[in-house]
Amino acid sequence: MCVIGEVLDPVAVDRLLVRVHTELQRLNEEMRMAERFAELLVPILTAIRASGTCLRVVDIGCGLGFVVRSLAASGVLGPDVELVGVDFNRALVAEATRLAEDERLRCRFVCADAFTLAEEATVYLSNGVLHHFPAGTLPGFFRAQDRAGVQAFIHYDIAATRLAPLGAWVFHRARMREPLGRHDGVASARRAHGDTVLLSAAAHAVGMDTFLFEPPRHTNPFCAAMRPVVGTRAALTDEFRRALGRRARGLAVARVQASG
Amino acid sequence: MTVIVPVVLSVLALIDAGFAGFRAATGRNARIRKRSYYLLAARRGLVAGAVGLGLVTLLITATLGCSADPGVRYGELVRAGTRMLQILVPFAALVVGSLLGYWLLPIRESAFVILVGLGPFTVLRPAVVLCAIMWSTAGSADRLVWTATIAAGLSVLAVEPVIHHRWYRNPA
Repeated sequence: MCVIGEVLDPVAVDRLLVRVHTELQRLNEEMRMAERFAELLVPILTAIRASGTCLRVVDIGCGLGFVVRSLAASGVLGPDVELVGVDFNRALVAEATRLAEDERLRCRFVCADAFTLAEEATVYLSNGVLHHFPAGTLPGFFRAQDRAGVQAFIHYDIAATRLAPLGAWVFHRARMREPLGRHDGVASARRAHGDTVLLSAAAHAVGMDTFLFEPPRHTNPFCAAMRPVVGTRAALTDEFRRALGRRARGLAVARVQASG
Repeated sequence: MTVIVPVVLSVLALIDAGFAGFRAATGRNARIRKRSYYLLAARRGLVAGAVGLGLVTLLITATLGCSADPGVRYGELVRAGTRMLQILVPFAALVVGSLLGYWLLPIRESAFVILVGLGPFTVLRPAVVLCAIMWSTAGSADRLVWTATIAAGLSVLAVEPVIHHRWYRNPA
């Protein structure tokens, strides 16, 4: 890594981040993350469409925007859904924009705080972001999404199991070349939040019904390597469950008090 | 067996080379539609694998041609190849089974296959090739067996780094 004076060369850091996120995309492709989001987004958006609300999906901490670009490329959500990726890192947003333009995808990327966008989100989502927040700040994160216009959220993150760090080590060893990516993969699995922590934090979105979808205790823990916290407006929940069909059995309802 | 063993080994080496080419290209292109990109990478791997295979074949043919007892030495090679297959075929079967599981199973179950199958198998692959080399040469005093087996193993392991270094060092 290049150093200028006593600090790392910002250009080299940006290049490294783009390389690591490019490698990271492979993991998301293998874990079929875009399909996982679509599995929940399609019934949620079906439920919201019935109420005539405009449909804007905002990906928080989108990185290179793999999920947004995949959903745009597949068209699975329909042409009436606006897809926006938001990230604080300018280099990642610039690269996501370049990639989307290169493939002429109907989505856009913004360097900003996802909660201060001029246009309100209908659905917030994130992929592998929650473990970056300390447990104490998670209630604020979920509370910020309980605002007018927001109908639902889906936040996928690493399931905190005993085997997660070992699985992450093997998986990142096999799939990533950058030492930073290999290290971060294991560190992320170590700091992943448990189901109870996430549900307690999600309960701070008091206007929402919150669930975990197919968490480890509901299924084979190996299969639940990634599992989402889902929130929907109470008025949408029944319709969402209906649209989800048999898979609605995988929704684990939050039965914990909001704390902190 | 004199024909089947080298044919099966060659087919395995070429299929592995195609996948090695694919792996060499992974993590370097963040576009969504990458079918042609991966097909090109697999073709590059296949060609590199074929070149390695050709060199090993050339080495064996030239040595046998200069040998006083080519039939005996070829028999030694076939025995070594058979022992090599005893390691490689079960591993290949596990990989093929995992790939089928990944393609055919629902989303979460396919993730399970990645975590317990394809991911670890990628990490184990060099060790498996090394085991196959050691097992196939064990008990043989023929230098051709040792040379050909080690050359074949190294050429199989070299495909991915060579393709990656030549074409996929930087993000596309």
